[in-house]
Amino acid sequence: MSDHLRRDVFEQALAFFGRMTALLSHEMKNALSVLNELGGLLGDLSLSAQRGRPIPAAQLDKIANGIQKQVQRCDAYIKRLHHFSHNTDSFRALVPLDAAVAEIVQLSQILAARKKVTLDVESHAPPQATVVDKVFFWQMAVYECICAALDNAQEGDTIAVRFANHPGPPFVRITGSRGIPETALEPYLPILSVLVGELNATLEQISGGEGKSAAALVIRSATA
Amino acid sequence: MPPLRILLIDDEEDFVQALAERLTLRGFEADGVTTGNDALARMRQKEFDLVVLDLKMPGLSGSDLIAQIRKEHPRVPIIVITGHGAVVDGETIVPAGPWRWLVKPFDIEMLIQAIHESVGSE
Repeated sequence: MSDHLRRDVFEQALAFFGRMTALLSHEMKNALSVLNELGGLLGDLSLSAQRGRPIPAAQLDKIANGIQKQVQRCDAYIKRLHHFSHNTDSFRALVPLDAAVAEIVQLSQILAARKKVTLDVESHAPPQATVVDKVFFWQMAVYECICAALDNAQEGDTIAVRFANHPGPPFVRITGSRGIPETALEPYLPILSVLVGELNATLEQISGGEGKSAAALVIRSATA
Repeated sequence: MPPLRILLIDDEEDFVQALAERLTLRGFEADGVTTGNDALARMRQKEFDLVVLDLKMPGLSGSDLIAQIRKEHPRVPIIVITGHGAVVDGETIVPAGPWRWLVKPFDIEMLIQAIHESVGSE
């Protein structure tokens, strides 16, 4: 790998990590903002009650449920952030690929939701049947493919991410309902080709889309 | 004096409902919607004295919504609320107009102060 390419990968890997952590922290802040208002509302209602205006039990229930929901939401984001961070500091650790794919799809869901696009993840392999190292690069490669599909997606679309370990070596297939045009894929190809090289994998563009579109992208491991 | 009519726009439904209720308890007439398109539809049905909107929303983005509100209701003041600091993803909001920023989560008294400053009331 040339020095220039090495620097590119380094910068893009940092950007990927930064983007994921920024997405998660943004969502956590949203959850905290809801908690802030629910707590504030509870305080307001308590003041009203002290002045003789009773608080309907249903309203208290609703606020309590809302607080619980946001705490669970925050907890889920923190768990994801914690787990994702460990994929970076345990770069060489062996990790089940199906779980890693599910995790990056979950994280990318935040981005997809902003475009009102659904990300659908499915594993066609027994859980933990395939373990890989460099899971951070696997997740980054899947993320780059999702981004290419998202660039061409419109509100209401679904992007399907499938993991399988048969036939042949394990692979991840990313399918956009409108295909993935060459123009959408082009910006992602340089980093994707480096990543699949590092992963001892290949990137296949499955034809079948309209015009110069790929119907799907497949990252296929060279080893079973 | 009639209550100030405030339209809250944020994709977090619980946030909008709780904030609308808190403003109502403080004597405002607050409506809440969760999408930019719903906001534009509501503003075509009813007059508002001020809108409070989040920048990051699915579908019609906050900056596109600001541009559309400026076009259809140029006199209605806007308060922008965001989970970020003053710069959003390195982007500057393009549509021109006077509005105030509040970073979430905020104290409701800060919002009320910004509302009064925006509409020039006390």
